[in-house]
This record gives sequence, structure tokens and C-alpha cells, in this order.
Amino acid sequence: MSQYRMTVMATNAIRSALTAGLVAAAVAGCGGGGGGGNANASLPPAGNGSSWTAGQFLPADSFAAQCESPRTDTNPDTGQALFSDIQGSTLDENNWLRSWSNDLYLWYDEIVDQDPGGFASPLAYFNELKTTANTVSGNPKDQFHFTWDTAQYEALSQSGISAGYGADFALLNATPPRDIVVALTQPNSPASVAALARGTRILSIDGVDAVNGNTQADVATLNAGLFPAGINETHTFVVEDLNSAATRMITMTSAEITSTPVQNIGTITSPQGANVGYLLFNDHIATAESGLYDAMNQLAAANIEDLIIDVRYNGGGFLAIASQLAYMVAGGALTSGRVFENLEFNGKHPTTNPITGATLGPLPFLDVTIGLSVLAPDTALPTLDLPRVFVITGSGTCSASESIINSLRGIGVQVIQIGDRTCGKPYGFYPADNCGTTYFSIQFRGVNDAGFGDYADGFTPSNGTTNNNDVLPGCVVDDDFNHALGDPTEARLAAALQFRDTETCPAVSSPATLTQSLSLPDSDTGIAISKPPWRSNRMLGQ
Amino acid sequence: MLPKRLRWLKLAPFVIAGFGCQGIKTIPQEPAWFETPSAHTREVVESTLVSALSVATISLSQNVFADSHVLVLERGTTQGIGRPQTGRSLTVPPRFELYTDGNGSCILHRPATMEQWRLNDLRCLPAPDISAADRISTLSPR
Repeated sequence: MSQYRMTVMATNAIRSALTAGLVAAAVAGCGGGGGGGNANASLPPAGNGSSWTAGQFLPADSFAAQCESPRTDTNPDTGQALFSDIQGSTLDENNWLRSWSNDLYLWYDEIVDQDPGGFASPLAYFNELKTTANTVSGNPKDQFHFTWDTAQYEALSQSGISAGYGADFALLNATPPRDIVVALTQPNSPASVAALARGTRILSIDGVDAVNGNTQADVATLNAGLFPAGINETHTFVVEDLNSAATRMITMTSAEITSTPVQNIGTITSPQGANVGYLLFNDHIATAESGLYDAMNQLAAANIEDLIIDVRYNGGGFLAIASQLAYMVAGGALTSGRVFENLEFNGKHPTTNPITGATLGPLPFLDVTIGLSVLAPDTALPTLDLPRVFVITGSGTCSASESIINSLRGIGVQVIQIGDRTCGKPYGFYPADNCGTTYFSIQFRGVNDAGFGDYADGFTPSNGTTNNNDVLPGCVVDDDFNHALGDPTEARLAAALQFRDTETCPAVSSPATLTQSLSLPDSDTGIAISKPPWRSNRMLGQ
Repeated sequence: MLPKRLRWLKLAPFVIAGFGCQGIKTIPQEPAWFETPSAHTREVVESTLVSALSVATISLSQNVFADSHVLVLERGTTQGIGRPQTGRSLTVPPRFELYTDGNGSCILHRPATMEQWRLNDLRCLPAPDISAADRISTLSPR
């Protein structure tokens, strides 16, 4: 079989997988729920006070859309109901969760089967429907089990557009004395107009002491100021710029922000004179397709000898983007006929994707655009044809970003890691709606061409010798908020350049710990959590 | 008719089947953008998409179709909420393109389903042809 034909087949395969995913998501989004099949049909019909027998499961479809509070929304143009919800009960919703999880959850056989009638809310029951096992390091094996309001989850936006200041904040210490710094900014945003830059410290917001304020009202004010709910919100900040002892007061009004997911592309001359490419890749959103395309063309034209990809804040997104980037790094010769990622579902579904019904097959390295951005579909991607790549990571490096690392290693590309341990998410899910709540429950894992996908504790850099597949050559280096991203003197980038030249690391220091939201000291009320988990993953991710 | 190489896209978005088509039989060939982008043009596009996709909320930029004839939608970048971060998404987001019929009319086209919607009372101009090879990088300098 010719190489060309193999490439075409591979491209078609990933398209089929991606397309099937959209169809499945669309069905789930209309209230149909997921799951179904492969369960023992021995319980009485739903809605009739079904009893619970441990280990026996009806198909999830038996309980789908039978809601304690059915939705009645209609399409304003057609008058047709938007949802298929009918009157049911909390027990019906719990039974749907139980059967759906038993069918699709990756570790379904590690769920302790509990009586769904013993839980007063679906959310309380859902929280029990996961494994309680720990990873080798002692962390929970499943750290990605959550829900969201379906109406909010299904809201659509123009890719790359959101409301805010165009600044992402890192909370180096979330409890008093807090330490809040700017991690990165978007060009042409209120933040950049206000001259906020990486490393700027936030001292107060709307008159509340951001460092020491510790009442519930203080925290609410701080969260409201840092994370505006919409556009045209004006808040006042006292900030301290990097390398300045003086403070200044600024006022920012939240606005429509156009995110630039690929930034700071350029070349750096290493201390030994090598021509090294660098790019900051923050988000696997759709517009990144064209951003990466442009970046790779630019770097290819610059004849770089090595490439440093900075994904320290990249929490993932479209897996196709990761596949395209990996292809552009490695090139056609190394990726042709090889697997970018294989999806593995639980043992009940060894050959078929249980959501889409498609036969399971490998996701290839994608060598063309697929219409995610302004680029026309089927545009050939440029390549760098590199046998190795440097990645700058942190605990915000997650999921699709980790799949770049894993997929390249799977085909023999050397990946050198600089920074901190990644988040450890070789897993994915097809979010499913039932009765107005969208459930996120791990359903598959991704493994690379070499069959490896066991990195639930994340990838860790080490400049020692190891046989562990989740330990990569490289250096542990703190995030450095005292220098701009892309600055060759920024600690992680400097370490990458040093390792590139000498295979040595700077002196190890303890990693900075970033947290996700403001909180009261000794508070277990959760009142300070103002951001959904995915937002935290994306922006701060630590 | 889509080029043969793109017909796989037709399999995708069953979600909007049956909604909103305006009876346009031919596919206009001239990519376009709005002659005068405004809050009104955004509102018209938003309302068309809300009906077409049967979703409650769609948030577009003030400059939608002001500098490109392509619009890609993603889930959840609602104001203040943030983009849902499943981390490993296998879906393909909805893609729409704006065309003009040569008389200044604006036609919204969804390649994946071949559906089209005429945007009444709006005026469009042919967009410059920016092929991939001619693209000028807009990336920020380091």
C-alpha cells in the first residue's frame, strides 16, 4: 500500500471518529442521554417505584429523560419542544445515572453499587458513581468527575471570543496572605491597555485588600473583580508592577476578548549558537488550527534546529488540534501509518465506540486542516520533521496537551520536558445530558502507538535515569513570574535552552503551587468557589 | 454540491436538520463579509443560528463576519463562564460560511449539512480571497 493511500485512509479515519463524536454529542444534547445496551433487563419498568437489586441493571434508555422537573422549553420559531423530558422522579434520574455509569464508565466495575433510592438528589448519587481507588502516587484515580448545567454547557460562542479583561491570573497563594499575579495577557485587551503584564501583582480590588481580606464579603468582591460575569463590568485594582516598588491604581472594564491561542512565535539563539524555535500554545480551541499552521510555516522558514513548545497553561480541548500539531512537529515520514492515539473504552466495549456505534480504530496523525478555523478544510499542513521536541509544562498541562507528548513518544520522537508534572489526564468523556444536567464521567483512555496511556499521575521531568514511561528526560523548574513568557531568561525557557546545549539542569527548586480560586482561611463551605472546574483547569490549572 | 473530498462533513450535524432553510437551491460561490458590521448584523446572525441549532444561547463577536467569511462555534464561551474544558474533545464544532449572490444579499451556509439561510435586510460585500498560501501571519511578535 502506498504511503499516500495510507495517509488518505488515516485522514478519513480520524474524520469518521470526529464526525461520529459530533453526532453523538448532538443527540445527547437534545436530552436523549447516553448509555443503553449491555445491561441485564430484570428490573420493573421505570417510573413505577422501581426497586433496586444490586448488580442488576436495566438499559439507561429505560430511565432517560424521566425527570423530577421536566424541561418545557420550545423552539420559538417552530413551537416544537426542545427536549423529550417527561414527568418522572429523582429515583428515575438516579436509575439513569446508575445504568449509564454501569455501561460506560471506564472503571464501572470499581463502582460500589448503592441503592439509588437512598439519595435525595441525582448530584449526590452521581458523586458516588466513580472509583474510589488511588493511583500509585496516592492521588485519586478519578479526578475528573463533575457536572454542569446543560443550558450553560450547551451555550455556543464564536470560537476564541469571551468576556473578560484579557488577563489570566495565577493565585500563588489563595488564602491570606494571598499572592495573586498576572500569568498572561491577551494582546489588544483591557489588560494590555492597562499595561498589566505577567508578574504584575494584584493588591486590592474595588477597595478590598486582595492580600489579607478574609471575610465572605471580601472574597465575593475579589472573585467578582477577578472574574467578571459579563462585558461592561468596571472594577478598580491596585497593582504592583514587576520590578517596581511603587503601586498604581487602574480601572478595567470587561469587554469582548478575542483569545490568541498561539502566541510569541519566534526563534532564539541558544548559548551555544543553535537556532531554536519557540511558541506559546495556550488553548486547543478551534482558532488554534490556523494559529499553529501559521506558526509552523514561520518556524519552518526559519530553519530551526530544535523546537520548544510552551504548553504550561494549556488544559487541552480539541484532540484534532493535538494530532495536527504532533504531525507538524514530526512530519510525514515519522507519522505515516502510525497511530496518534487509540481510544480504549471499558471491557464491555472492546471493539465498538459505545457512544457513536463506530468500530474502534486508531486516530491517526492528522496531516490536513479539517475546517476548525478560517483555513479551508483539507489544506496540507507544514512540517518541521524534527526527531525531538522540548515541551514546557506545568500542572496546567492537561489532556490533549499531554496527548501531544504521549503520541510523539509513541513514534519514537524524543520529548524533553521542562517545568513541572503535568495534570495526568489520559482520559476523556462524551458529556451526556439528562433532565437539564450534563454529566462528565470518564469513559475512555487514550494510548499511543506503543500502547502506552498509563500516566494518571502526569508526566514528570527528570534528568536522572528511569525506566518509568511517565518520567521524561528534562528538568524540574518553577514557573517564573518574574519574566515574560518567551523571554530567553524566563526560568523554564532558559532551562530548556541549557538542557539543549549541555544536557544539564539548573539547580532544582520546589515547584510553585498555584491554586484555582480564592478561599477563606479554614473554610470548608466552598463559598469562594466562583469558577466552574473547567474554567479553573483552563486559566490556572494548578 | 460540496467537493467530493468534503462530503464526509455531511454526516455530522443532524442536530439542525429540518430547521431554518430558506429554500435556496444553489450554493453561492462568492465568499462575503458584511458591508457594515453592527449590533444589528450580529443580532440577525445570532437569531438565525439560535433557531437553526435549537440552542438557547449563542454569543457572537461584535465583528462577526467583519473580517472573515468563516464562523466556527464552540460550546460554552459564555460571558463569565469560560469554555467548558473537557480536555479531550472528539467533536467537530459547527462551521458556517457567509456568501453573497452577487446582488449584495447575504447567505449563511453550513457546509456540513448544505443548509443555507438568507439574511434578510443585510448587505454583503465579496470578501478578499485569502488562500492559505497567501495568508499573512497575524501572530504576535515575541
